[in-house]
Amino acid sequence: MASTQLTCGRCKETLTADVFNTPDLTHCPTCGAGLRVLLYPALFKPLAGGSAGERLMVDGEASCFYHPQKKAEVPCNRCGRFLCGLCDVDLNGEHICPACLQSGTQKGKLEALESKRVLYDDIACSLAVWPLLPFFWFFTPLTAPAALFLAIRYWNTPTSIVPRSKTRFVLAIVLSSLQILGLIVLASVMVINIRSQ
Amino acid sequence: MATDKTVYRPLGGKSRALFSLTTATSERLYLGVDHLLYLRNEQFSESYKRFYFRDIQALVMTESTRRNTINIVLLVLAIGGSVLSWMIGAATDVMVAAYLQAGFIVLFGILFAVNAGLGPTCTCYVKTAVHTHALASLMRVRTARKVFDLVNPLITAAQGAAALGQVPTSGLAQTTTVAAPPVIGVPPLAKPPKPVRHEGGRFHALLFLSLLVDSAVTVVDYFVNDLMLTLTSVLLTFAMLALLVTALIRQLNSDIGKTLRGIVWSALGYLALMMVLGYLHLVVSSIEHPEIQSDQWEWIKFVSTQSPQDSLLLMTIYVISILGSFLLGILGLAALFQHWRYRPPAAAGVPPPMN
Repeated sequence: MASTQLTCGRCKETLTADVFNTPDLTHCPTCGAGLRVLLYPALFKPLAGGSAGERLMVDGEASCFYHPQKKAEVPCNRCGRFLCGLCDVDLNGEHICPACLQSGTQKGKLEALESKRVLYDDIACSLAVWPLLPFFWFFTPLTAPAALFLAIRYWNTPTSIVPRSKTRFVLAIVLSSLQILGLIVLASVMVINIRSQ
Repeated sequence: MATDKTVYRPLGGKSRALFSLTTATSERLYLGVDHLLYLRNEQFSESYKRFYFRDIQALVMTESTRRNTINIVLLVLAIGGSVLSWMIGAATDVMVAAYLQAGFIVLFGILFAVNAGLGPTCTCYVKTAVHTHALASLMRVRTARKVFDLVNPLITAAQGAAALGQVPTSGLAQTTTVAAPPVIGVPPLAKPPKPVRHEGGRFHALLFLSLLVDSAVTVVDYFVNDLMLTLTSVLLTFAMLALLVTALIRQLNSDIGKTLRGIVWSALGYLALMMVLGYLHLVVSSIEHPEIQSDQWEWIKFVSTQSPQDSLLLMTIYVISILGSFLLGILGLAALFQHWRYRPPAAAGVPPPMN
């Protein structure tokens, strides 16, 4: 369990009550650094313990889907299955069963559990822009089709969890299309020259 | 496929990994409906950490020395760049060196001004029951203060004020009663560690006035080569140094504002820079005119005969001296007037001046 002690960000000394919840900066009693500490009731609220679930005592009473010998307490908000206290996962006020939790995490349906996203628009944009830099132009035959593919393939895939436009995808499509067009023109000119010789 | 349900609002501040060559990472804090989202961008992916209002136990902000460190680095780079460009100029072309020197001074001067203007730096962290997480995006006190003021009522509303009361202080066993967050109107228990006394700012005023006088003397000296002017300038420099040291001592544990303090410290940096440049000029002059090497009086007489048009280094010293003294003098006086206006001894609720 984490300690309830709070320390100064500079001297790492434990802070005392006289510096808590001030309207503006105060000073660390040890090092004198400007300091503001806001405390909330959660600091002294004990952590809620887990429930093992009650045993089923009466026949005909609703039981847990996963533990038939235990009493159902809540239905899963996703699949509707009855859950005992042990199977009930409280996710930001929502009651979810372990199976829904696992599938939701794997498929990315539970936004509250998402901890990472791949930014395909950034990858596509970088692939389209890098060949424009000196020394990287000879990668164009590889990067341009890759950028175009990524931009089209992941157009509808959510990128960042925070608001973000499709500008990078558009830029990737435009630039990679122009690069592919340029490559086609270049190849055509070379073929014509070879044939004419 | 994930669905974007929560609309996030970006909170001020963004940190970037300046010296990372392999990945361009940045971190930023967002405000959600019932939580704070800490987003770390690693160029091609993002990772998220959520701090729900009901789980946040504490928000802590501590002032850091990062701004001063950056300013010192910029000052060193500016001086180093100037010296380097002067050496290049001595070997090649004076005009090239002049442009290089001006470029260095302007570039680092702008960076210095931006860094100073953004205000003091800080480190922040959020504490929950299971971990303590640094909020690297909140690097400036101004930004952190705004964010704290914004989220404080939200967290308080989410947790309610009913449970406020017992907060551990020095250990788990010992507890004491503390005030509730300011949003619910409980008076704070702030106590400054040292008594603050009122400072009238007499020496500050003299320092800023002498800086303005120095600027005027240097302007005249720019056009007129006269021994008396050079002597006056040298004496003024010594007077400014004495006043500066006195002002720095006087403002210790006083009610002098941060801006005014910053200007006095900037004056110290400015005078240090001028002394370095003066020393550089002495070295160069000594190489070209060995007869002035061992005699300060001869050197002063030699300087009084020199025109800024004769030497790039001297021109640089004059320009920096005129602009630096003038700007610091004006800004210092303006800040001092503000100090006098808003912090009269009686209104400030502090003891009257000791002197």
